[in-house]
Amino acid sequence: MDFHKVGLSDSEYKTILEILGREPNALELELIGVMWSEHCSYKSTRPLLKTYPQKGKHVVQGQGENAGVVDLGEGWGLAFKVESHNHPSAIAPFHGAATGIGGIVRDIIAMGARPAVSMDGLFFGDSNLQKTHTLAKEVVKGIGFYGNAVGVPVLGGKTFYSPAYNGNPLVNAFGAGFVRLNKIASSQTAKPGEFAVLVGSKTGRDGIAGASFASRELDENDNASNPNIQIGDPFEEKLLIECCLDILDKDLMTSMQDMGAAGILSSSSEIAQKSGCGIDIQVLQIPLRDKGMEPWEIFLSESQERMLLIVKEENLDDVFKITKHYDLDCKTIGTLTDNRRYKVFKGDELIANLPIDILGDTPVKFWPSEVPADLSERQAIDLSTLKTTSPAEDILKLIACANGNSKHRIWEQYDSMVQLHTIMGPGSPVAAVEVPETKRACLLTMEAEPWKCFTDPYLGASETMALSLRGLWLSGADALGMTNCLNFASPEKSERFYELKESIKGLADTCRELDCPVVSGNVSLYNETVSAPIYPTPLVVTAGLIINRDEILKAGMTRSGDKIYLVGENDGSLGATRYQKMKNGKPLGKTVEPDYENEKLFRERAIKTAREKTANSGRVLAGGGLAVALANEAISSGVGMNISIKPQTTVESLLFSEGGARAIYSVPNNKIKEFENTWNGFSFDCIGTATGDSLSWDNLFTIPISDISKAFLEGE
Amino acid sequence: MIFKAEVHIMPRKTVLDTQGKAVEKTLIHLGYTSLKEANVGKIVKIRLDAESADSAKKSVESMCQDLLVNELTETFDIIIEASCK
Repeated sequence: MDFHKVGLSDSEYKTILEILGREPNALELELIGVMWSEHCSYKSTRPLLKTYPQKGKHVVQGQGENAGVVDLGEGWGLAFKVESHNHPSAIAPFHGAATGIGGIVRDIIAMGARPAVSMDGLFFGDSNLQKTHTLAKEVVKGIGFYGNAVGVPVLGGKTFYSPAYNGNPLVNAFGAGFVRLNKIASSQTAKPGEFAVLVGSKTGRDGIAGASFASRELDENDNASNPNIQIGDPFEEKLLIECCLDILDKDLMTSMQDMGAAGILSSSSEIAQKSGCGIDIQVLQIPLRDKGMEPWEIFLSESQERMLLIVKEENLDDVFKITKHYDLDCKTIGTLTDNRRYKVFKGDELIANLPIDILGDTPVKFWPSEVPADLSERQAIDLSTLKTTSPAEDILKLIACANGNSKHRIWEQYDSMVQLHTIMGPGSPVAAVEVPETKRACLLTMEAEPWKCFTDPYLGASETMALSLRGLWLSGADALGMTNCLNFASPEKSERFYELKESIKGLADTCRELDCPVVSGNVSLYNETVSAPIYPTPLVVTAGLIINRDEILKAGMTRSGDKIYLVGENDGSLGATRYQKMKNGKPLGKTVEPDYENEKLFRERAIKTAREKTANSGRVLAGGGLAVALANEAISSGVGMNISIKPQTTVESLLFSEGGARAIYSVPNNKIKEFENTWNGFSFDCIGTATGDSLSWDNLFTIPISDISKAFLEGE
Repeated sequence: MIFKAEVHIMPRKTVLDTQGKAVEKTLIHLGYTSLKEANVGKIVKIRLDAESADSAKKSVESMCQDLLVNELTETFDIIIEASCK
């Protein structure tokens, strides 16, 4: 069999021959090929991901597990991770997005946690194309179908439209769950002599015949160019959640791993390798849905709703009883060994026999990196093209544009209240959920800044990360850790690899400087179509904690009579902002340079403001800058504002620049002194008063909030 | 000439048939232990004007591709009959 067909290069095949001392048989070659693929091995990014800060005082479980875990106090932990389902969603938007939710939910279960929150990062093509709307509709329907049925609330997300995602949409699914710290499950604690038990759906041909298998012949009259897409069954998943947590709660398992990419193969080899064991698998024991499946199909199948549990012999009967109660298939498919080999048996016949490390310890790949030839062109910005003739019109346009308007048409399709612990859900800049049995709250922010990353991957990624932290700090939360989804084009092109490398560096530096360890994540490469690559799109989700949930500072709570404060500098950068993009038609110019000392001063004061309740409402400056933040605050609070502040540079920069530690606060008159004391030592300015039913700015403009509201809700 | 067409749409053999699975499980729970497999699909009945059975079939095929069938997850068969009216 030709090793190229399983995606291996000449040099990789040579390494395999050296390790094995012989030629692999066809099945072995399939197994190695998949485990050495970019998708399973992260060969292009592993050395880069090692540069992330991984330790922190709240980190209980860092990278290398199914999800990271941070300490929420009072014996609780939060397991969380974000994962991409980009390629499946491009081919079959409904089922791709649905199974994306299923996959992330199982990652959370695999940590022993009860899935409690989901959020989605969605990046669609040109908002003016009908094709984009059809695709977006299906993706959203798929998320709602699975998420609502499985009973995990969607608390928010990020939706972004740009022609850069035409034909290559991104669907990043975030999941989080609560776990008792003494009940955390692991995929690294299996011991020789224990049994590998497969729980959940039967194994079919799902996910087989994808990209690397397109050349294979399939039986039936299936169109060979179509991969066998995975179809999710959320009701089965709900049973799987309850069943696995039940078995874990009764201490009947020693280790657990979900089945995602490369199904049985990757889950069984990972659990054995990470635990320092080997494993014997009996292929005839695996319950099958389709007839005539070959061993390689069985091992690579990505059938949904399956988990691999490791169980001691004396607990097998109890485990079978519990799985029967939940009406789930359950079968012992293998035994852990002490010989560090991955062996597959078909009856008595040994059909694959590999050293376990060849599957888990995969080689890394170093690609050349080169500054994109057009980078200086992307960074050149002509400020004279950014003049505003009517600030009122521009503000309304920025509010109404696809990336600025309300996403209620999307999130109204999701159940955001199921489980009854939601404090702040969709539509709020920050999501918040109650930590079970405590007064604590867990807060989450999801951010991505593709335009800023396109014009400067390092600065863009740094600003993305800082923005996610500022949202938490402003609400009063300490940051515990972050998870990230790195969506990039082909690493094999040196200019694209540069963007990937610089983005990771930007995230790593910012996380290190601002004390936010990276606990989990996912990398999705080769996101491009024939016409163009996607923008470099690192998406981050940061988790924070508030000890007393009554101290959360929310947005949209401004009351008439409050003084409006701007904290931070008057100007950020107009580079790659929503305003600049609207004026020039494409992102140009760099965003701000990071200023970590300033961020730390902001952090300290923002958290204090929330805890001492010296402001009624607050909002960090993000897309659209100060003007859009004020407009959003006015409509969500239902009160107008009289603003009076003179530009230090230009009107455009004051109104619309983005980046840097900046926020607006609404402060009641009896708290002004305390508020100003808190912000002493940081730039701040009282810029107006909340009153009336218009947003007015000196003699620049007056816009009725009903007009802003209309633009926000109805869009362009 | 008027033709009657029936489109039989079934889930592809290689993808999970969630409805079939639910029916299968429930029937077994009801005591139908001899049941080996259940699949759930749908039938679409169409009447159309066409010059011949062949052209009627072609037309229905095109309807399947454009709307009635998701070929990623479903297969279909078309049965054409001449209609008396």
